[in-house]
This record gives sequence, C-alpha cells and structure tokens, in this order.
Amino acid sequence: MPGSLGGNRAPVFTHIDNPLYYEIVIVNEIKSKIREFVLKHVRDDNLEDDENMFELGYVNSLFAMQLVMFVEKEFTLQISREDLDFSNFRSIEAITALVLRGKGLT
Amino acid sequence: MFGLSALGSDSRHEFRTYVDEVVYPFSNEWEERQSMPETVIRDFGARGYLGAFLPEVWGGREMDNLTFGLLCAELARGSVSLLSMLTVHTMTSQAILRWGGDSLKKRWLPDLAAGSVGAAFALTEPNIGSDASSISTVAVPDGNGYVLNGTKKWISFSAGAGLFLVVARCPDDGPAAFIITRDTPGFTIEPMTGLLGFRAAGVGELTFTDCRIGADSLLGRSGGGFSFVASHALDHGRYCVGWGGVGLIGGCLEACAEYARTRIQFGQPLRSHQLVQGMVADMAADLEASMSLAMRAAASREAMEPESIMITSIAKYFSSKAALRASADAVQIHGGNGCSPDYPVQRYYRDAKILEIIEGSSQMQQLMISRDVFTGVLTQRNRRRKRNDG
Repeated sequence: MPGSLGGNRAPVFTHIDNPLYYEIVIVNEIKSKIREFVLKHVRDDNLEDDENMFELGYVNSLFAMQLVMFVEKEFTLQISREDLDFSNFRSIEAITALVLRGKGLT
Repeated sequence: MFGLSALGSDSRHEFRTYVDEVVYPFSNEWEERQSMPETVIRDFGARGYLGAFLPEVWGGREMDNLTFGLLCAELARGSVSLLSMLTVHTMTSQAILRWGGDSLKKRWLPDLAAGSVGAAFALTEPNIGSDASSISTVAVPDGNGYVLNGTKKWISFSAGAGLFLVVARCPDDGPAAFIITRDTPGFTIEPMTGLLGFRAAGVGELTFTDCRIGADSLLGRSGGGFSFVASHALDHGRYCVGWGGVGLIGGCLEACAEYARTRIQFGQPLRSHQLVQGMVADMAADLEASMSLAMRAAASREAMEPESIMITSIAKYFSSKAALRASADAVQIHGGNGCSPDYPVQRYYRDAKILEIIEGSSQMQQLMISRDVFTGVLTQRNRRRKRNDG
C-alpha cells in the first residue's frame, strides 16, 4: 500500500512521494547522523541543534578537520573551498544545511 | 621476517633499491656539506617521488597511503633530509589539491607532480612555534590582492623550492594561506646552517617586506588558513614523519646488526654480549610497534575515517620518540665509532630529535591525544558551569 510503513500500523503519509515526507525523513536522518557524530566528540547530551559550538568552545582546529572528514565520508560529499566558512560548521543545524545544499536537496 | 621486510611489495623493492644506490651512500656527505645536490633533487622528482601522492590526472603516481608511507620510511633510512623535502612538498601540493581553486590547480599541480617545481610550507616564525594560531606575519588586503609583511623560520626545502605555502594573518578575518612564488618582489630567503639535524634539508628563514601578491594567491578562504588549510597539511606531515620514524629505527637496527656482527670485543662479536642484545631487542620491538601504528594510520586514512587524524598523531608521537630511543642505543652500541661521520648512526640520532619537534612537537601531540580522551568530561563540566552562570 503506497505510503504504508508496513504491518498493521496506520500509514503516516498518504503518498510516499509527498515532498513533506522527504523533507522530514531525510532531514531528520541527516541531522541524526550529524548529531551522533558531534556528541561522540563533544559528549554534551544537552547540546541543542541550533547552538553555536564555536561560542561554546567545543570546536578546535582538530575537531574542525574531523567534521569536514565526517561530512565528506558519511554523505559522500566534497567540501569545496567555498564551503570553508566557520558558519557552515557552527551548529548541528548549520552542518545539516551544508549537507542538504551539497546533496542538492535545498 | 619482521620490520619493513614483512611488507614486501614491488614498490618497496623499488624504493629500497633507490635509497641503497642513490641516497644512503652519500647522505653523510650531504649532511657535512649542509646541502643536497640539485642533481639529486631533480632525479628524485624525475622518478615521480615528489608527485607520489598526487592523482594521475595531474601527472602524479597516485600512490595509496601505505605505499606512500613505505616510501617515507625508506627515505628516512637513507636521508631524513630528503624525507623532509618530500614531506613539505607534499604538504603544499596536497593543500593545493584539496583547497585550491581551478586556476591554482592547473597552474601548479602538473609542475609539482613532475617535480619541475619544488614546494615548501611556511607556518613557523621566529617567535611562534607550537602556538601556531598566534602567527604575526600579516597579509593586508590592498586593491586586488594582499601585501605581506613578516618572517618565517625553520622552513625546510626553502633552498630549492620555487613555491611556498605561507600562512599569514588577515587583519579582519584571521589566518589565511597563500601560495607565493620564490621570485616575488619583497620576498627574500636566508639559509640556516649549523643545525643539529636535517642539515641537508635546505632549511631557511623567509622574510616578506611589503611583498605584494594577487588575490588568486589565496588558498581556501580567508580565516580558514589555520583551522582548515594548515591543519590539513600538518596532518599529512605527521603521517610522513610517523613513517619516517619507522624507517629511521629500521636503519638503526640494520646498522647495529651489521656492526654487532663484525665488531669484536673481549674476544667475541658484540652480538654475543647480552647487554647489546637487550638494546637490539628493544629496537626491534620499537620498530614493530611503530610500524603497526603507522599501518593502522594508513588503513584509517585510506578509509577516510575522521579518527585517522588522531591515529596519525599517535603514530607520529610514538615513532618519533621510539626513533630517538633507538638511535641513542645505536650510537651506544657503536661506541666511539657511533660519534663519527663514517657511520650513519650519529646522523640518525641527530635527525631523530628533530622528528620529535617538527609537524607538532611530542608535547603538542600529547595535548591533542589527551584532549581527545578528556574532552567529554571537560566540556560537560564547562557546559554545566555556563548554564549555572546563565
């Protein structure tokens, strides 16, 4: 059944190709992976997605490099020189937006 | 079979033959002259070693991480000065490949791959070493470009390089990386001699006096010169040095095995004396441990894992310290001969100390490694304090 998640559970979306479906599922999946990586290094479970990690003192040059490598490997992207802006890595939200742009999803 | 011999491959055989025939027999002489013959550097480039790590599309040999590591190790066995040149050349060429715009890549990567142009990496200053983010060389935007003023010190390959990656501070944006040619007006180079080690590495001091460069010299973005460009290059440099330590220990072991076989004391060859055996055994253990870490770093880098940065740091930290231990014991085993230029171990000893300092000192590696261990605890505590203060 189109839009069904299987079993006896009620379908969440009527149409699997509903743009909203992709927006929610894909963005959440990307954000979740980024959050998992960031928390593995920062280990602050209370870090909110829009909080500035630079202002909190969480990002040094080593972590900045690791972030670039993580994004490139996890999402098979190439971070370009134009993307080398600290604002692109300041928060989980910002990194998610960078990935979405890189994937051509925005 | 142990040590580098266990990693048999056609490439390693090629590197070993090159070092045995062209490098090792002459390296003590180069160190005494405090310079590397131009013919050696040209030949090194012609063999594709300066372009070893660049993609074939740019004319490089596109070696994988392990093969490139083996090249670094074999070079260190023959001449750490030559390894030093390869290190800084590839640090700069990799930075251009990674962060350069199309025009910079097209202009320089083919020449860097062919070895027709050498490259050096300029970050350290007379008053700034480990605290690299506090550099004082400035690049002031001026019209369609920048004007540089400042001094860089301890720059390897500055005697022969035609191209320099220079990190300078932009007044508004912070550190930025620039690609500057040797013949740029306002840019002068003074050789540094009488150093403890790396004597043939062409180390020098660079001075920029109202040195005007174009906007297209900028590598990456202004502000990201240290956190992205220089850090990336230093990570590559640590990988080279990590393997360099492996090769240097291997060289110590080979020299000691030969010397202990032929040198007779108390009516027996040195190798029959248990205290000598103990030092040789420590050397072999350090070689295996260093090589294991370097191979782990190679595999992690090949997989492009973010953790590779920390593993590389650990490999560099361990192997450079192990190289100093091994070379000190190697001199000890050789006794008075170990202090003579007729044997390689005095050179290994002097160069091993430098391995502990370059591309981030052992203490900076300890800080990085321990910070990675403790980051979670500290950041949680700081965060709680910040919340409480708020």
